[in-house]
Amino acid sequence: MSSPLPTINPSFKRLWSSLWPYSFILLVGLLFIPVIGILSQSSMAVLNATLDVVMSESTFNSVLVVFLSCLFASIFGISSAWIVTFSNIPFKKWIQWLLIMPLAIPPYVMAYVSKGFFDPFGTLDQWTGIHLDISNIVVLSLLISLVLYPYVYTPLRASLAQQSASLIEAAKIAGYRSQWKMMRLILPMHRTALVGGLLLVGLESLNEYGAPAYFGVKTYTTEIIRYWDPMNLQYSVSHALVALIFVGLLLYLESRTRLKSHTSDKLGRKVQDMEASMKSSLGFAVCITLLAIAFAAPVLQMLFWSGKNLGLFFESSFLMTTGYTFMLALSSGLILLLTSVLLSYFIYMFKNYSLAKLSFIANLGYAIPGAIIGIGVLIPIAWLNESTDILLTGTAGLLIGAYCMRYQSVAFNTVEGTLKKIPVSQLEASLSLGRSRIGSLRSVILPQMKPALMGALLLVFVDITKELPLTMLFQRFNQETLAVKAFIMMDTDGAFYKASVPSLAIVFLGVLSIIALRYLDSKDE
Amino acid sequence: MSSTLEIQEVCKSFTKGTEVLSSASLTLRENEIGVLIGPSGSGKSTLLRSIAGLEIPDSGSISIAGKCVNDARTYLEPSDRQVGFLFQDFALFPHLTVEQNIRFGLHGVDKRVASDRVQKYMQLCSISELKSRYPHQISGGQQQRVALARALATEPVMLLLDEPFSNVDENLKAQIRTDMVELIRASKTTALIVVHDIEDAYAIADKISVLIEGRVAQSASPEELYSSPASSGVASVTGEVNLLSAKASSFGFTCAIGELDQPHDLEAGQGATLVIRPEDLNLEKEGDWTVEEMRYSGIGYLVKCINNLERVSVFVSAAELPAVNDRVGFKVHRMHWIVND
Repeated sequence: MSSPLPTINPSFKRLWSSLWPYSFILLVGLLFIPVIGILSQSSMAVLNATLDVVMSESTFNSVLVVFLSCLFASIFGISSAWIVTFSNIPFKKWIQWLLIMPLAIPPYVMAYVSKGFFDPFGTLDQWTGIHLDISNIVVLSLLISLVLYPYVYTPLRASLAQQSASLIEAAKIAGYRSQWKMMRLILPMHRTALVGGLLLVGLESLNEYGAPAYFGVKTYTTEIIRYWDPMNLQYSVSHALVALIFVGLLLYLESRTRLKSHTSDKLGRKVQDMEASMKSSLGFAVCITLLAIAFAAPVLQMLFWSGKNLGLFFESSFLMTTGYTFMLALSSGLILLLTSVLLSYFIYMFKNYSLAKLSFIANLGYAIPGAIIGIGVLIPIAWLNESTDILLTGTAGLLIGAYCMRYQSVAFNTVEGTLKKIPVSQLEASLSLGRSRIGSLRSVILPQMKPALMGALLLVFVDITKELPLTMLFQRFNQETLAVKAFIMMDTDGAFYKASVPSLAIVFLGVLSIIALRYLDSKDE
Repeated sequence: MSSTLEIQEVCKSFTKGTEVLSSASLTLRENEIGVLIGPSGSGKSTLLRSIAGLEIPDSGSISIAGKCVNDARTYLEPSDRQVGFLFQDFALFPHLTVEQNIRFGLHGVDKRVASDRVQKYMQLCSISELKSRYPHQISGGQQQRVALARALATEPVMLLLDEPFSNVDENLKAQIRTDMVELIRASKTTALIVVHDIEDAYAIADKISVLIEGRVAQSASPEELYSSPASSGVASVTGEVNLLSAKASSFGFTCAIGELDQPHDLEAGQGATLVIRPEDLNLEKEGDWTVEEMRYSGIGYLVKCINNLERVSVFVSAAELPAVNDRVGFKVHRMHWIVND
């Protein structure tokens, strides 16, 4: 047997005589703008301010929010994934994917609903006469983790399902009877999935602007946005620099914890083929409670509030906001689709070249908090404004550009994951049948990727619809997205209950995307 | 006749510094069916892919139908080489029907001409009734015929086939092999086929090229290759064979079997390797050899004998079958020799 070579292999010189490497470098280079923007401002004054930030309240709060959110999310994520994998609960098929649903609720919406429930004159007060002050950092982290735990749950469940069944059986024979002991044996083997999920929770909670701002908790993100002033960059940039270091630390911790080699016997039975032995009413109760608190209750509460404000749906300002949000999300989504296809097609064709390894930069955007990307883009623009006096700031085009930098990895990973599964011989066959590389992309590769392209578009669309920190930085009068509108209304006297209408619209889109992705997934199988 | 394919001293190494092809040369005449064979990692697929333009050689030249497609200054894209390529995994496009797959390469050809061509090759490959099915709806053998029809429909100057029999059912292999060669001959296309089973090579080739360590060690007709392999490396890929080191003497050769009468033009004392096929030996009742093992092969038995550390295999019929541990000798009635360097 000869080993099929992974990809078409033009010589280095010949590769550079085509347009491909240049467009690849241009695309990757554009993604680097925010980082360059921030670093360009690191003057002596900024560095001094940075040292102050390190010892500030926002550092204490940011670290605590990230730590507590990860802690709570791992409790929710691990327990739900474990129950769904190993016990035989009623409606398992449904619960299994309903457990992803809380992801449709942005943390700031969760914070808003909870306040409306527990505050004086809130729902709880009306029912029982009791009200609670929940504006503290522990409750904040708990609420964030309630909607972000699916980041842990989803990869962990997928990983556990692939666990070799014979290992579990061997452990049982060896006397591992309690669930607790079994967990301590099995979970370390799924460290990669678990830590990968926790990294996302950590990055997302660091990125979160709405919830901490709403609760009055100072974090890096809230301070970057609060201090943003194109004429006086020192405070924003110093917070951004410290936050960047923190992100680097999180990424480093994740890479250290990841398992170097993954041993799984490809033969043999998997846990997913095993008859779940444990009948657990307790497990069922845990899952249902989690779903009720993290999804059903907030949605019902918002439905109740918005029921009284139905008229808002038809107000022209609301329709305008929705239209504007859709326009932003859709145009960014389409651009991201195009760039993801080009980036991943380049890697598909030329993966033997070290150039292709630069694609990791596409993934940086998602690690860097939206607020930092925002000021990273605005700094060069502010400089342009100063020197040319063109008022560019706040235009939709810039916002779309910033979204593209932040969400490139979401689209790219979905697209690349699918492209990888298409054998290179498909491209080679097309080339040998007389089609060009672009022609092959159009007539052979893209038609096979339709579901993935739809999925990527949807993911990005929803992410952008609920995006807050970046959008806040770019926001202009009368040009609000649904997320900004919801956030401003939450904090405006008299508009509190009305804020449920745009909030619900965002959640509804999120739910829709989860259902659509689920459908695409099942079609894939 | 003119040669359709001319490969001269093609070299190729991959990033890790291992040379996969080292000065490989090969020619193929019009309408000839050539077979490339060799041990794993000898560079067969790389050579085939270089002809198609899917790999770019580091040096050397390749011409197809008299036109240079690759040398130090030229590189023609795969799409401009007019070669058909049959992939090991067939590479049918899953989102297109059988008919659309075959029509794929006829992009830009006049519509009526294209339709006629598609009809013609679907008929030739007996897949007309499958035309509106999708690749996943047809069997592996049918998929292969679709892939062949697709490659032939562009009426390429030559056809390249990468291990076409490695993915087919062993029971159907002989039939598929025969059908495929008939199709290629009927379409009057020059073809180069990579195989890893020598039986396949003998069954289909006009000319077999043996690739060893990135170099074409011998190109010859199946008969010539079998009877006179150019080196012991070549001999070892051409089927069951005994390779015995020998010294030339005035009357013949001296080797582990004994002294063999054989006219030759070597100088006495010169070293050589004797190539003796198991069917060119007869078993004798007496001798220094011990029967070690026997294997039934359908037509007869392959008997392996040992003497000191030398081993010799011989074909015998059921009637002459010895028992294990019997003492035996040999009579050689045909041999070929290779002069040692």
